[in-house]
Amino acid sequence: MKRHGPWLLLVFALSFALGHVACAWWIPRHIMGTTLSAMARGGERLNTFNAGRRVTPDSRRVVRPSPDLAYSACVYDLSDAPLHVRVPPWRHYWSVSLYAANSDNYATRNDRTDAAGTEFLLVGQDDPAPAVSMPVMRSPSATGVILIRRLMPDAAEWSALAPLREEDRCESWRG
Amino acid sequence: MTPIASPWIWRSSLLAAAIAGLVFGGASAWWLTGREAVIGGRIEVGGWATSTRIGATAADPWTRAVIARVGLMALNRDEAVYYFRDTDGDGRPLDERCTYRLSGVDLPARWWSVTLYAEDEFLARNDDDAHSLQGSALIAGAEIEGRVWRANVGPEREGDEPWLSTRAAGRFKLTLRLYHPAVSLREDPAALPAPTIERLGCHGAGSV
Repeated sequence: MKRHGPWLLLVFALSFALGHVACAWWIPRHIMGTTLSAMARGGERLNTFNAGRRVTPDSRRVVRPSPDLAYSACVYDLSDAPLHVRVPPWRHYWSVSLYAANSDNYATRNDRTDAAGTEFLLVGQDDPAPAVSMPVMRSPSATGVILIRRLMPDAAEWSALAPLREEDRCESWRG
Repeated sequence: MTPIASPWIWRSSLLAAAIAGLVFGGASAWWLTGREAVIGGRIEVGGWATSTRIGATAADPWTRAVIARVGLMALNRDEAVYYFRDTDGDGRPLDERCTYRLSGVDLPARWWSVTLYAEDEFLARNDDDAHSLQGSALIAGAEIEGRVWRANVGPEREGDEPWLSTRAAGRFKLTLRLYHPAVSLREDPAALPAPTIERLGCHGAGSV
């Protein structure tokens, strides 16, 4: 037994390290995956903006949501085609943030970078970029999410927001 | 020959050690990433904690995992800086049964807010509609001299003071969001003129 003890300990230690690192790597991808799946209703609402309701105690999809912001989310999949995104300006702070499948915030546009609203084409990291006049952005992963945040100084602003959200575009680019 | 020397038992022992290692290793990662103290690049200022790596593509796997659990889809610090706290000025856990005085000065950002979250990381399940306060509203009501703003944090509204409701929040947490922070704060998050939170009293918490 003495002869085998160190080997068993070594196998345990190596497996422990492997399990630890693998789990830490898996956690953000798993949480993002399940969250994005719920946001896209299992794929039914992919590559289109879903306008979120006002954040309340019943908003339980993403932790620590801000009740001061109106959120819209477009869960994307670039496997078949690039994504065309267009968001009009809002009279208060607004931003359009891009997140990879591992939860990294790899790019953000906002009212300071694009005062007149933002428009861009999103393509995969290694995919060819079509010749277009708008900026082209690259996603580190084939899937991810684009999140619009619009500041709502008070509840009365929600009525002004509804028609603006109709203009949000997130759709597959067919050239 | 000892029993462990039997090839079958030896292989079984190795397999058991490997499985046990994987299970305990995975469990340790889950436990560790449930603790905000693990976040890399952690900076504390006046009882508030933040990190330069939140939302960053350069985040280490543990930081990324913690943020996914407590602040999924956070922005990187070019856009916003977040500060968290779960204790009062004396280091005691924030408790829904207690009343607190939150106060400070204007913060160096384009706009900022302070939001109260329940133990489960979501808005507390109450209908008080007092989960968050925006800096612009706090500053508008601040004293002229010194521009110090004050807010009441507790289970019941008191007077006309801005209020964050703690009802049904358990051991709650506060999050400060600063959007488009000043360059000085982005480069040195410890430069925050940190709001203070003082416990005024408790109902049924065993001490005052």
